[in-house]
Amino acid sequence: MGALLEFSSGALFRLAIVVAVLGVGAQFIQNALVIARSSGTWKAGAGSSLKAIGAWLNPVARARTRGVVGEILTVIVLAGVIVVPLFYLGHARLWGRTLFLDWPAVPAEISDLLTKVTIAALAALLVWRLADRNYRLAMLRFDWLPILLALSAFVSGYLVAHPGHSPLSPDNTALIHFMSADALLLTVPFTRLARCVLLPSAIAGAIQHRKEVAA
Amino acid sequence: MKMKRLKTVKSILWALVGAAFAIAVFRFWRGLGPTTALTDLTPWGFWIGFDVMGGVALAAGGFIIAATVYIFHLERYRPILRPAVLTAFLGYSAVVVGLMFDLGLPWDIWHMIVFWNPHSPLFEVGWCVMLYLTVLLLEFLPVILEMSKHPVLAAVYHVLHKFTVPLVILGIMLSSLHQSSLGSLFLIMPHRLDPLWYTPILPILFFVSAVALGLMMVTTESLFSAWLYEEEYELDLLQGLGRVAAGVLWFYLALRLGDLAARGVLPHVLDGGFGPNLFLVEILWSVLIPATLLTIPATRKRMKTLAIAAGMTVSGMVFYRIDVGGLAMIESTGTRYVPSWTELTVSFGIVAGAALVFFWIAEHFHLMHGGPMIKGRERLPDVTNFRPRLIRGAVMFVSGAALATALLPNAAIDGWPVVAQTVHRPGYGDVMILDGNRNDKGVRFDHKMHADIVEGDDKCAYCHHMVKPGARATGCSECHKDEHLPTSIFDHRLHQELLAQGPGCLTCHEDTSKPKDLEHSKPCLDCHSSMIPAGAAFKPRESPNIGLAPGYMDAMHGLCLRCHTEQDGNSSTDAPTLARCSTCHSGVVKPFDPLHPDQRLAAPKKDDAPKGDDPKAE
Repeated sequence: MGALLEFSSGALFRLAIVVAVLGVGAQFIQNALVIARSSGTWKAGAGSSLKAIGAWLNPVARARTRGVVGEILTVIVLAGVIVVPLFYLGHARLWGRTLFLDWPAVPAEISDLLTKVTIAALAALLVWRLADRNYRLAMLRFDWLPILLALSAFVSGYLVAHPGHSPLSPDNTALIHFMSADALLLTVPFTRLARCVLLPSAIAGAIQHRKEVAA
Repeated sequence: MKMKRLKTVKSILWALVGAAFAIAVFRFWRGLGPTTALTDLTPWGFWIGFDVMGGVALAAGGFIIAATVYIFHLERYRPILRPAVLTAFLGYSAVVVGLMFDLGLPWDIWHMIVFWNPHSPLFEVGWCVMLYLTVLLLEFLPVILEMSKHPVLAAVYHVLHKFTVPLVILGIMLSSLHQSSLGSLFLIMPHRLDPLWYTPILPILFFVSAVALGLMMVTTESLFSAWLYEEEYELDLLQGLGRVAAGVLWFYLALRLGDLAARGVLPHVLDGGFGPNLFLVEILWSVLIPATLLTIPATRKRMKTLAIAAGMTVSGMVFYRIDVGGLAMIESTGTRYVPSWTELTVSFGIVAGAALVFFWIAEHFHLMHGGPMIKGRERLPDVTNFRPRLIRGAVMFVSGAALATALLPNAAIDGWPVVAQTVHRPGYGDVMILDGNRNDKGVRFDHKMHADIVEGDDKCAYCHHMVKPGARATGCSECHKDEHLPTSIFDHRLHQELLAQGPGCLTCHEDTSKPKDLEHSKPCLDCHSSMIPAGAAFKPRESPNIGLAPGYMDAMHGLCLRCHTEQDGNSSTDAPTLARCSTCHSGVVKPFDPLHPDQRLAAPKKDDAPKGDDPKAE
């Protein structure tokens, strides 16, 4: 397990985290520059990008256009995807030890509860999107990957924390958890998730485009 | 495919910049130790040898071409003036960035502006870099400003345009100073640097080699740009530079070999071993082969051979500087320094960043102003496919950064762990004799008393903190600073408390209309009549207002040394007499003024002595 723990914060994890963080940053800068170039001013570029992200972050506005159920599920998933990995006690200890930082953590009971809620929300979101014809049309095959990877990472993560429930050995469960989490991070800048955050009009445009193609 | 070369080269450059960026984060976060191969024995490595030494030399083309055009009026070289000045500016900027990586405390770089040390060659290097970088910026700024329609920027452009020639002269002067002072840096290392490289004429060698290197750097840059942008090569122009460079290279060779012969070191060239072989390779690579190629007109006029000669001169002269900066010290220091891949990546990343800025300026401004390439160069920038270019650059940058982060050793990510130190009790009990400056005169140090006085769990670290390199314990003066400072011997708070029951403040500050300061307060002797012992040799004519006493060091060392030095040889006072308090405290000098406690330190002048108070007269 010691070697696996070392692997968890090793080269692959570092590669994935840098790709995720810098990739999203590069997407933002790129979109801001493209908008600036088309609108003629740098101020307009950064302003439009930030405004669009602000609008995307507003769940009320999104609920109006996409439906309340879907929006609630999305908010739960996003909250879980951010809070659980960052503030889970085990992660906090691992990163805190590596980075010599007092990494904050939520109590184990809360992170367990959040994990279960996130898994349920992810599964519901997957079913809901599969059931929605518009989404099915709008999403490319690659776009299903983050949801599946997130499900895999959360389920395996829960089993790593509760090895008694796992049908696999602790090492195998941990390996699946690390690999799916790293893969999730690697996909972040290339998926619709990043484009939604950075260029909110992209998803609406994609849905419209797919509808037209299907028609 | 059009511009395929440019795309490929830019992609590689973006990846290098990304990798350097990722390493930079950990270098500044975790420090030099875990992220480089540098040690206390080899504190100057590839960054100094390549980025600083090489970078400055690569930038020499700026002042040489500026002198050629503005001073010698060889107008046909004007088309390569702007790229040469830009290369110099970017080269010096890269030097500064590289230096930031190498400095232990880069945030203290401003110290050299405030805390002057004119005896240090590094001080001169620092100032020259700073000033020359400013001059290069001002020299190049018109290229950027000439396209601006803003009235203020247009006015700045006209002012700068007017001052071009003075700026060029200033640039030539500073650059000449700087190129040679880089060599001066190594004059303090006669026992460290191999004799084949150490010479008193190092500054001259650095300057002459910079001239050849500068000419060939301009040639390399011009040939590379033309190849990259698929333009015609300016062979007529460049072969002229090659002819001059050949002469400079032969002169440089004569200087080096002549110097070795004059110092009697020349036979060692053929001794074999690391040093002599390194020397032979360097001379062959940097001077002999390129100088031969450049001397023969047929090879000088062919693009390929000219490119080979220019490339060899540039890399060879950078090699020379790397040798002086480190490789030629390996045998004397016994170290085996091999730059880590992180150091190499950062260096190449900085150069890659400078190259990307060069391409950007070349594509957006009239860099080849007035020259035959202007037509082609203006047509070249293709900005219609902006987004794909942006994506390509971003993907390469992120890939480079991610790959570098993944490959970084664990020590660079985690930093060096804090090593627990074993603490021993003092070897000679609670009291020991300390001889801090090793002059066989120790002082009694009560370790137990100090340990008892200081409180807290980390009290040992109060003195034994070891935050400074090589520090074992805090010096006494770190805490006992008051011995060096004037000390107040009047305790105002104590007087307040004692006199609170009586007349209070009015005891001393009798006239309430006057300021409550030393001058307007009751003299101490009015109350403390027994303050001066009856038999004291020094009896002030007036009751003193004693406020500040000079610090221990001033009172003891300053007083004795000053008077002994200044009165030395004066028959009226000799050393033994000066050692007695009454020699000075007898009215010859001014009475002690608490507001000017150092006044008495000045030597007493005979003319100042009041008549009748002269001890000799008594």
